[in-house]
Amino acid sequence: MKPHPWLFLLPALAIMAMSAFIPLMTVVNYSLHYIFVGSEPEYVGLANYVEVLQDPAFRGALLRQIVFSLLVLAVEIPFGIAIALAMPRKGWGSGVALVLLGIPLLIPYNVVGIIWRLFTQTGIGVVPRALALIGYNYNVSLHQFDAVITVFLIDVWHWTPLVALLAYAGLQSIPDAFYRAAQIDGASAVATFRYVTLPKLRPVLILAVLLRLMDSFKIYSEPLLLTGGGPGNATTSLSLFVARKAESFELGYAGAASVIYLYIVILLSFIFFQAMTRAGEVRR
Amino acid sequence: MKKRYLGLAVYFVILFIPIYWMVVTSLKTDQEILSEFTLIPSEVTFENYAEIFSSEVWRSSFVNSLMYVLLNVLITVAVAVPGAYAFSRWTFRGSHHLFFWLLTNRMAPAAAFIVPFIEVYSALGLFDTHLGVALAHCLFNIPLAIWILEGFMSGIPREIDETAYIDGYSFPRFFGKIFLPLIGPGIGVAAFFCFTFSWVELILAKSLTVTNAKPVVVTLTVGIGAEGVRWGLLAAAGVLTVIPGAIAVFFIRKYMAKGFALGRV
Amino acid sequence: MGDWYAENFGWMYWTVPSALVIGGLLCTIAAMAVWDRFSPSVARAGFLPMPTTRGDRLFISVMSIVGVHLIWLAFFGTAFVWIGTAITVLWCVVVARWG
Repeated sequence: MKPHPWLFLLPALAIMAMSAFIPLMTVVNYSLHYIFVGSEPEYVGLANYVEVLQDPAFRGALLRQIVFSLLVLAVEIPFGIAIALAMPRKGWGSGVALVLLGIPLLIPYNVVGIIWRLFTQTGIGVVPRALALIGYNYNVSLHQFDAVITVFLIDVWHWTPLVALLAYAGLQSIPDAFYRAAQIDGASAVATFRYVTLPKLRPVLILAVLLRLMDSFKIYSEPLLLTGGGPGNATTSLSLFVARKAESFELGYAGAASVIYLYIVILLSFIFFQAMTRAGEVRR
Repeated sequence: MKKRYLGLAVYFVILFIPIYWMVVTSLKTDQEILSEFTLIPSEVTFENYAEIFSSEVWRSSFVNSLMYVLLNVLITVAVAVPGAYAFSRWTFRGSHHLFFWLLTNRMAPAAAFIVPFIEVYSALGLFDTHLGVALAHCLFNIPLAIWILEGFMSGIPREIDETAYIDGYSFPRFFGKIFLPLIGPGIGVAAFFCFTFSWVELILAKSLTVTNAKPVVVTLTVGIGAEGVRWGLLAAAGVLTVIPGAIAVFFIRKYMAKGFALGRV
Repeated sequence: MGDWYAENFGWMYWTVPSALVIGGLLCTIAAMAVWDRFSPSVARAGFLPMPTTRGDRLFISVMSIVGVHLIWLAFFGTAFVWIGTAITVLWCVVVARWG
């Protein structure tokens, strides 16, 4: 007798119910009420959503987050492909390069924050001293521009190796015959890249874009450890903003903001999931 | 050709300067960190490390972290193996949607769930316990493990299952004796990624613990921003936090590229 | 009953309207599952860019309802929100029939 599939899923679903489903329902409930801890909740319909959506602080955080994530993609994807193309195809060099690329990916987020704190802190870091030599007064805790650029560089530093690893794995799977054929046809290097390499890399690049988009969209530890979201609100990411509201027990507001946040994430996941199914990356 | 490798070498040097700086800082005395700018410590000291190992707070937070991370890996693998088996062997009603829903939980920002998490786990009496954090981390680790394991299991032909039935294996015996050894590497990769993500996670670990289960990632963030931060100590703790991941990666180095491809989803 | 609820589940802040919203959604999903049990849905190609089953179309409809309302609230507040509702209901019918 063959066992039933739901039987196998039961333990996983039981834990997911507690860790994902009940919290999700509770967040939806929060978002529909005015809540003062200890008193009766008052149903207010969509008022919280209006408040969140028309709050300049939320709009600012969302806008910063979108710009940040798009910039991350615009830099990391081409840069990662370039690194993958420059890497040796075989021999001991490729092994060494792979391990070197892997190391930054394995550093915990908060340690990444600490590394960069040590690296950029005024008085102890390398960056302020180096920039002082060319006459630039770099200070992450005072200058908004410096802080934003630094958080951006942290992300590029931390995650470009992932894109490079993925692109490298994609490049390895292209048979040499394709390149020989292009050579015989007299294709230029640029044309070979455009018409042979890039189409073959498509599935793996969609995956890379999805990963970077989602993970940069929930960036939290890096700005928190670098400057705590400041100076001002310059590096307050959407996660940081929502977490702050939740920690100050503005439950209705935080709930509505969370639902909007989740909505965006699910929508993007759905679009990419469809694209990946079509590119043959996922079976289902 | 030569120019290409030169560029690559420059990139790797830039990639490793910040890491080098952390290691070097951890080996300096506080006085040297603050007073002079040296790329190589003028006097190598292990005092920072000694202080961490002798401090009760640091020691207990390392132990706390390890406890909930290992608990999480155990729970995740135990429930994800059968779950992934269901997805890899059957297409049942709603299986596509269920799979998608699971994956969205990997994407979902933990920040959105903080308050309900605190409430759910307080109601269950799991607040500020190792088990509580371990279960909370299942939010993103179970979907991840199911996806990784489903990929490995789908690579094993169904004929193996069917042959086992014909040979008269009962299901539990087939699963334990034949199937589990076959997907051993997959379980290793899944466990590694669960380990890493649980180890590095900050938001949930921070919100769900006060003192009893306070993990090292939280201890690391405390005191940052205050005056008189012990930078050398912080750097040493950072170095120590990287080590478990480095040990774990040694065991799965062969599967690294494949694992990262799946593991980050 | 009331005390027991308040003690154990008070933190979930259930009220009748929110129970109706979430319960309605869950009942819809359950009803879809039962419907599919008796007449299984086959993926078909409609005007949407991918072939969809009934469940997919339900998902797209729910996502559209939420999305249109959020955009409406962001720009106009709760004023005339029923216009947005009307638009989405029409759209959902179109998706269910021709999607």
